[in-house]
Amino acid sequence: MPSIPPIPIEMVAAIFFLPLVSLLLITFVTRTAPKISGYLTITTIGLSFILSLWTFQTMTTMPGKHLGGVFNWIVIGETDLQLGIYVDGLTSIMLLVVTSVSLLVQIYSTAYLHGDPGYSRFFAYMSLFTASMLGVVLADNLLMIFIFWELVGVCSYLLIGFWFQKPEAAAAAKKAFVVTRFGDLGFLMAILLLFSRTGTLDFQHLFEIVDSPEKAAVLGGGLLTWAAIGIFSGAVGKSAQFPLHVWLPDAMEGPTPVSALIHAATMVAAGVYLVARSFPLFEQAPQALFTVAVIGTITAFVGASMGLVMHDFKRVLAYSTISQLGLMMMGLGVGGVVAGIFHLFNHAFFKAMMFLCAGSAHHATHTYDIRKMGGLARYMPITFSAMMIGGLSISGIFPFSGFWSKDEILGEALGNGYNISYIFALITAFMTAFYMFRLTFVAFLGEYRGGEHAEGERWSGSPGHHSLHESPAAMAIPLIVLAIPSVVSGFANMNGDFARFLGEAGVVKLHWDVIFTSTTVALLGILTAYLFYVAKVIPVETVARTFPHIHGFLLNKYYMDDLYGWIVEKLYLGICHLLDLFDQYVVDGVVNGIASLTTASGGVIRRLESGQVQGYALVIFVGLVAIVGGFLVFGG
Amino acid sequence: MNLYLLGPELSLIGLAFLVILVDLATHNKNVVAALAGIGLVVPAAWAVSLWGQTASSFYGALVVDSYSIFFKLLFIAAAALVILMSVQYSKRFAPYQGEYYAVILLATAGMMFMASTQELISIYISLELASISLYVLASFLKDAKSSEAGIKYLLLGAVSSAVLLYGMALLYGATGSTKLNEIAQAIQESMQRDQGAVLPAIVLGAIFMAGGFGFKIAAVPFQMWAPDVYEGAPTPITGFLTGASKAAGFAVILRVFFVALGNQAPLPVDWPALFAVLSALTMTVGNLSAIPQANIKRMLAYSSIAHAGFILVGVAAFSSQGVGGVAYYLLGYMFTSMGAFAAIVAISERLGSDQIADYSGLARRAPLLALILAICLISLIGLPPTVGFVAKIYVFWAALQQGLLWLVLFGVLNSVISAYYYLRVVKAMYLGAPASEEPLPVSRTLVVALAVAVIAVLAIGIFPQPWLDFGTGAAIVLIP
Amino acid sequence: MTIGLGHFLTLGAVLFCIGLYGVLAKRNAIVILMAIELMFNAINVTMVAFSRYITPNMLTGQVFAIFIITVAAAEAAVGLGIILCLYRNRETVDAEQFNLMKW
Repeated sequence: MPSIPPIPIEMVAAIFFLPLVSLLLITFVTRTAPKISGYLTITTIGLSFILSLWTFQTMTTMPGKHLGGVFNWIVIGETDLQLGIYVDGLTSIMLLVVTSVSLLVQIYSTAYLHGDPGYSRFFAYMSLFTASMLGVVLADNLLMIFIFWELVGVCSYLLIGFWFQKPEAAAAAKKAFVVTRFGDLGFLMAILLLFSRTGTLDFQHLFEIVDSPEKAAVLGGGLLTWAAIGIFSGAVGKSAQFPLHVWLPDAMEGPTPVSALIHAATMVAAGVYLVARSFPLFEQAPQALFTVAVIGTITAFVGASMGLVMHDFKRVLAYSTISQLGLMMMGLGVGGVVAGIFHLFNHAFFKAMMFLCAGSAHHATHTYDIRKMGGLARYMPITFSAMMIGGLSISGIFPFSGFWSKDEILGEALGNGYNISYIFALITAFMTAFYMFRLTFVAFLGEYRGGEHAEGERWSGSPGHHSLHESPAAMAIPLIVLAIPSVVSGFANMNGDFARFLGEAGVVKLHWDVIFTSTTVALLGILTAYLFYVAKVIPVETVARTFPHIHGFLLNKYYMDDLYGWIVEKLYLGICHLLDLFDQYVVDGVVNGIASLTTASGGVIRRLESGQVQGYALVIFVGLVAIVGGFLVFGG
Repeated sequence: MNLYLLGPELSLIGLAFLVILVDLATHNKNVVAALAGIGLVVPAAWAVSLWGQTASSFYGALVVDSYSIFFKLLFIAAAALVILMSVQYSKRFAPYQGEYYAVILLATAGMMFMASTQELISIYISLELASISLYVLASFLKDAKSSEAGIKYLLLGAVSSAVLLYGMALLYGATGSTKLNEIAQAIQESMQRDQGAVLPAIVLGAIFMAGGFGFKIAAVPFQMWAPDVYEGAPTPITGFLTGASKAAGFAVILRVFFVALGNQAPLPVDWPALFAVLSALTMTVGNLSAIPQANIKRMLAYSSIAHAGFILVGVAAFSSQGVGGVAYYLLGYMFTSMGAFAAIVAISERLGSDQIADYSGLARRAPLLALILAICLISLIGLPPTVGFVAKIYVFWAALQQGLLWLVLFGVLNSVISAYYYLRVVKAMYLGAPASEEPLPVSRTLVVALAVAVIAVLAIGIFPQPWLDFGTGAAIVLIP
Repeated sequence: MTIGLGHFLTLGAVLFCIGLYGVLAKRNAIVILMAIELMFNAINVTMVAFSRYITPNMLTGQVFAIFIITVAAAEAAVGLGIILCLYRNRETVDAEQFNLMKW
């Protein structure tokens, strides 16, 4: 093999800048020429993908090492904030995931959004998203990550609300933005805390500080734990972890390619990436790591249980994503960075593929309601095969990719003494196999139940009649391409290559007991789904009626949306009401109250009202008196 | 007496009179606007040529240093933007356009004086030159709302001037001088003499002066005028008030408090704490009141109050980083706010409305305009990659260094709250349904103003270092 | 009893408060302007008193007072102009009626 030179750092930077070029060109040049906008995006992201491959190749020649380049951005006193690139094994894997999935999704979108009036806008947003996501991955310090992190959030907002005529889409966009910002608040606090204590946000410097006992003293007294939990809270928001997971199912209102790229493969994985990237901090803060494990376990379980009863194709996948992200977090939390990232890597491909299957099924039936599908397997063999591969992979059946990474996570949990997590993960595995095959069986087997007439949606490219058909090549080919890693990517860590690449010790133990248990559990899940929905030995309705409370509880998503809705409504209305009162009674009231006080005492000043210039003057003087009083009380 | 040092201001005043003369001679008002706009090159170039000098004149009343030149250039840039915004808008008061531009230039001259005086009498006079010009400008539309804005601004402005003067009188009486450095020295000596005791007149004087200047920057509780005046004034003038007049107020506050009351070993008056409290109050009241607003000008008025609170964080930090942060923040805020108001001018010119509800679906009808407004609003929230982000980080960081953690927490929380009402506008523009599909054209001069503002917002935000150096260079004058 | 600095300062303070009362209590905008003038004059008294007693060799306070008088005249002129304009629009100079903009 001819030796390929190592990639220069400028080329790595180009991976990030290429999609930005496409964004600018679309915005200013080709917005009226949608076709060109689409091809432009595909070309630039394709180039980014090739450069990512080159980066990956370079990194394989230097395991455990890293590339980097910096320039000073802001110098404040002696400290400086640097903009820099940091490339190691983790980065190059993420680069590959982001660019490859993004590339395939863009190709798919050219067909899926064919004829949509917002076609150019869609690709502009997608370019911006890809660039921002690459920024998160390439950044060498927390501040840059935070900047791109927020940009990714904005893109997600814009893309969920892409069909802003749909009120649900607009509401979902807002919900996603607001909910994730709760997490970001913690993230920002953590950044401020770290910076104020250590004076740096650079990963390498931070790691040096926490790794040396003398320097780590600046973060003593539990501060490091709080910082790590703050970082994790950002990840909780982005990666839809319990209890901030509520935005992800609603985000399915966005176009399906968006769901595949952002809400399955990349953005939601950014939280996992963030925790993995700052893992040395977590290693020194065992309580924070424990929190990660607990939240991950809860999320995995809760997500999977809600997925059991949904009827919407994409929502089942969304809950499945939540559950799988929880599993990755659990993997990180129990100490298995390699296992968590490995699962992220595998999951990105098969989950993106399944979302594209959902889009493909919708393309044929104009609905996402699986009760209205049925029998699609006959008409859409490619989509059906892809779904089967995805289902087997996510359920953890040998030799599909999910088998390998799930086994590693379970093995790590068991090996590190997290027995409760292990048991919950097994239950999750059972539920995962069940809902995934319930989805596949109901949608693809049996008789076709009519779908829905094309209406409501804004895309007009599909024929209005009801002859079911496989999707066009631009949609089918990405499915086929994504199916390949879903089958084979699991073998990447067979010899510990993946682990060594990440700079970890590449010892791979096959946990035979775990493999046996988890495979049995998964097969049981598939069997149960078969009995319920294909053989129909157990009537579904009876079960639902026997346990109405559980069924309702799950169907209503643990009532969490209602709870949050209630809280937000009360809180929001309360605040509005308070502000209203503040306006009416405090601002005026201060003016009025003081006025009437004065009127009562001396009958001097007439009644004042807001909007009244004299009331304002009174506030000025009352303020002055208050300040003087403050100085008298607290001393000069 | 070195008149050369006064060049920027004098040439600006000369330009104002020239504008009035040309206005008499020609009927083509665009010529007048062009003269006013292009003429700004002279004072700007003059100010740049003075860069690096430190000299004083008029018996120490006037000083030219990097600090004053920083602000002078800021005011000239603001004036240029206002003139660009006004070319189309000023057709509303057709016969008086020449006077309008002349008064803008005079107000700018007043602000430039404010930045470079270090003596109480001249501070007062330059402040009044700026203020009286602004009273006139605020009521320039001569309709009921604009006149009401004018009278409210004038009455409250005069009252707060009285408060300011009372403070100055007390300070003068307690120290026997009106020059800031002599005041500082006198206080220092009297404190050494009396074992650290401070005359009550100095404390009271400092508080009254804080009140008088607090009015200019619209800090709580001296902010009551701002929403009404901002709503009623002609929109370009509203931009000018938020961008330039506020900066002028801060320029004076920093100079007076740092030079006269900040050079003693234990501070005679704990004004950093006073400003810290005012800062927390100001941002909270401003943000909370902005939330229920339906009129975008009024919403931005409350937002501008909130931003005064954020900038005060840098003042309260009482350090050279703090001052640098304030200078940088003011520069960024000027461009951001002027950009937002330029967009509002462009939009309301076509829609005839300032209601946020009418901005629905604007992204479809005027995509670039909506994008620019969105970028400005994002900068106001303080999100990257805009100047608002760096500015907030910088002042918060300066405050953290001085141990003002509670204030920074306040600020961060407030930033989060503020996102809500800014994003409401973005949401209306991008996710709302348009009332009609008819595109909104924008006049050419406005496009220039919008482009300059938005490029500045992004460029200063993405490449902040030279601008931060610029700001810190200015700060060094106050804190060596 | 000799009249000293304290008496002048007290006079200034009292005048200031009377002016303040006028600003806060009178309804007519023109009267409010007059009350503001009173506040300025209170400051002038204070300034001149300080000048006489604190810096008898310099005229700083007197000069300050003269500038205040000048500026106040300019302010009053602009104020009356705006009030005239308001009167044309609203046919009233009652400050309480100036409430088109509030909340």
